[in-house]
Amino acid sequence: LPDVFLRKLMRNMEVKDRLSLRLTCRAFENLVANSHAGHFEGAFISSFTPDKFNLVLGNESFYGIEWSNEDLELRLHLMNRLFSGISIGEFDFNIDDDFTAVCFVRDLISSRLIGILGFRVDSECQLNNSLLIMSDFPNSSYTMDLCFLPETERCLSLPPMEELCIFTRSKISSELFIKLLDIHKNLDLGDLIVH
Amino acid sequence: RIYPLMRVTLTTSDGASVTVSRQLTKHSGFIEKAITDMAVDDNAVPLSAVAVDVDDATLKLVIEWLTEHRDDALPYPEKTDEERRADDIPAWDQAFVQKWDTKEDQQQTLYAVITAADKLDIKGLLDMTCKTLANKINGKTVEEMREILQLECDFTEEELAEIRKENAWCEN
Repeated sequence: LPDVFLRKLMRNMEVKDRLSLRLTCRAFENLVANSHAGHFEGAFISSFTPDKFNLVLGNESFYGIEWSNEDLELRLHLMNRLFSGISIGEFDFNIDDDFTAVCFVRDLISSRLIGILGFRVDSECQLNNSLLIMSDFPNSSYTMDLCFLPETERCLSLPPMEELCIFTRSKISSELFIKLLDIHKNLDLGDLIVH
Repeated sequence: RIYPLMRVTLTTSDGASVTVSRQLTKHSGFIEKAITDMAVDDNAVPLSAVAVDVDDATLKLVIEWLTEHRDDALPYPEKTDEERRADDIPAWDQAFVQKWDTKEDQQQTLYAVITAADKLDIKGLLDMTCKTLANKINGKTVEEMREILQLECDFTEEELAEIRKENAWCEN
């Protein structure tokens, strides 16, 4: 089959099918590794369970993957053999404070085309990690669910976002509110009291 | 500028000749370029028949598809990265492909049409056949994929075991 056709075909394959295609023959194992996976509307990575994470990519869900260091290289190797590129509409992150997890996520998504990066952030540490990931994607858009209220300076230093939601029972000054409104496209303050 | 009433003769790889309306050939980048290259005046009339590297039986199928799609908009809209779906094949096209399924050599026919669409640079047909094959492969086992794609496994048992081991964390 023509090469252009095969590359087009590979953009329609789900992750599960790419895994199977790797096993068909050498030529297709190489084709899988060297072809673009196409566009996935959404992806989600979360670490609800300690030392484990869940990854959702398109229609595929992978639950309870361990963060163990010894397996990370194997996982990254597999990702590199599964596609040469991938485009993701919105990638949502909900990862804990573990820096190993952050390093893995950065390696996992490095050089990928991501439209929107969405973060759920519960602590200063997670905020730092999120900003680190954002810095890898300067051309993407961002959304953030902030579950605590950082200090004013910190709040104002956040990069412009498509949507910033602050979910905490706290108070902010009207001055800060107006400045945030000016920086971010959409601002959801939930139960936050403006005074 | 396209002259829909103008007719173009195509000669196939197995020596047959087919004359078709320019209204159909305008969807083929290859034939359009050949016509333009051979044209002697503003009417864009080719000096001779256009030779296509496609056999007569396959060309007839391509012409059948082009006839149905003669009024499709041109240029063919390039798919954006956002369009991943393969379940939007028009009903006529589905029936067109289903027709081959009654033949013993259905896979060969599909591959012949895919190759012809590529050689003749017919983007819509290439797109449709790509989705058709994607739908045939999606969710199939490795063995079924080999059968559909007519592949011979050239891995050793050790190599297969290694790939299965790599795949394992995703498959579980």
